[in-house]
Amino acid sequence: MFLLLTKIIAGLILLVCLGFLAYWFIAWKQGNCAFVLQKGKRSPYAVDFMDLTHAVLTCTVPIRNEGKQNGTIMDAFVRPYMPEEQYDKVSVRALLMDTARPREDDYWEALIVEPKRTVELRVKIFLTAKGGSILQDLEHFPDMAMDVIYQVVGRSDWAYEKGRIYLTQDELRDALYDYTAGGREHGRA
Amino acid sequence: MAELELVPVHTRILTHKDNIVDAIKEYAGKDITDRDIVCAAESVVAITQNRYVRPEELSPCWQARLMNRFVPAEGSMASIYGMQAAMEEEGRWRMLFWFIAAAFAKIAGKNGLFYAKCRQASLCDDVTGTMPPFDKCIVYGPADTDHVCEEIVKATGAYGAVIADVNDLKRAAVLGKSRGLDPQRIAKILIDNPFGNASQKTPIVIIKNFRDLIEA
Repeated sequence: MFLLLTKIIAGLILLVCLGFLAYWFIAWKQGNCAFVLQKGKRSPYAVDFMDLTHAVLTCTVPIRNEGKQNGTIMDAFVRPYMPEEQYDKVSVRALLMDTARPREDDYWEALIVEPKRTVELRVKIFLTAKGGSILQDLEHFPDMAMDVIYQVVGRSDWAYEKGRIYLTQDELRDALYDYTAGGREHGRA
Repeated sequence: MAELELVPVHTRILTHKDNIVDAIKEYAGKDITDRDIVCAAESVVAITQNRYVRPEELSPCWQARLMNRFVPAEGSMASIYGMQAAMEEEGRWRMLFWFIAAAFAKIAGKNGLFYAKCRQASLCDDVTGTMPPFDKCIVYGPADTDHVCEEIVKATGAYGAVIADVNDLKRAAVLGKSRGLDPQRIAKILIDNPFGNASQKTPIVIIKNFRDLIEA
């Protein structure tokens, strides 16, 4: 009797273990979404707008679902890292938006991304001079890191992920030069 | 005889602080007559009933994680949070039971048993299913639908009222109705989705002169 009971319990444990193994196998086979911020494909920065005290720069950076399942980007935003200790002549703010559905209210509308599909993100950086002249106040602007942070969910638990991009001193200088040189060509002030 | 006409009604974003009956009176009250049917979009009714949840507020159980793996990618149950949200309403063991039963029924050639027995599994709108700011929420199906419809009729003097689930894929279902209405007939009238997409903010549609159609 004891032996029979032991066999039944052992059989049940084996069944549960097999069930778990089958589940993990299916889950592994199905996979999940896997978002990758394609930093290497970021576009050069361009000046969108500039006046005496403000400059607005934009760039685009793709994010791709490299996984096997649909993934939802529930939220996404960009966080610039320019502490006053490092540079206090300019205040920095940034927005992130889906290029296909641009919006200026800093609201990310949740978006489903199918496997092997890419979404183009637009980063918009607002620079405001504290000293009265944006060109002068940007003169020694250092390389600035920005984290693109996104909350994703697919077949498993939601998670925040992030990728880092930079606005370097050289890129900023090039963008400002292109804009001001273009402005001279096109009669901008 | 006046012709049947579908009139979408633009509103602000309605929230859980709104009452759907009051909102209909506020935005459409003057246009509704005793010859008309008032139709309300199901997700907006559910939102005004505070029937939505953020995925972050849910802790998916093992049943949700297991079942979710057998659901195709399209649809709200493909996410563990959509599945868990439905389970919060239907009961996890009940959903698991009907999920297994539906699998056997499917083998026997009968489809749709799971969604027929677990209504929230078909009514829940997953994240992205509703307009901002509720695009980050899972919205349940509305509650007490027939009662809400009766309240709308009482408040507006309309011929009838329905709560409908309509999409751009030519699918329309009436989830709740006031007395005496034929849900199939109303669903057919709404098939072209007069509610528009979510960003058009027209969660109310008036079917003008419906009584004339009945009496003709």
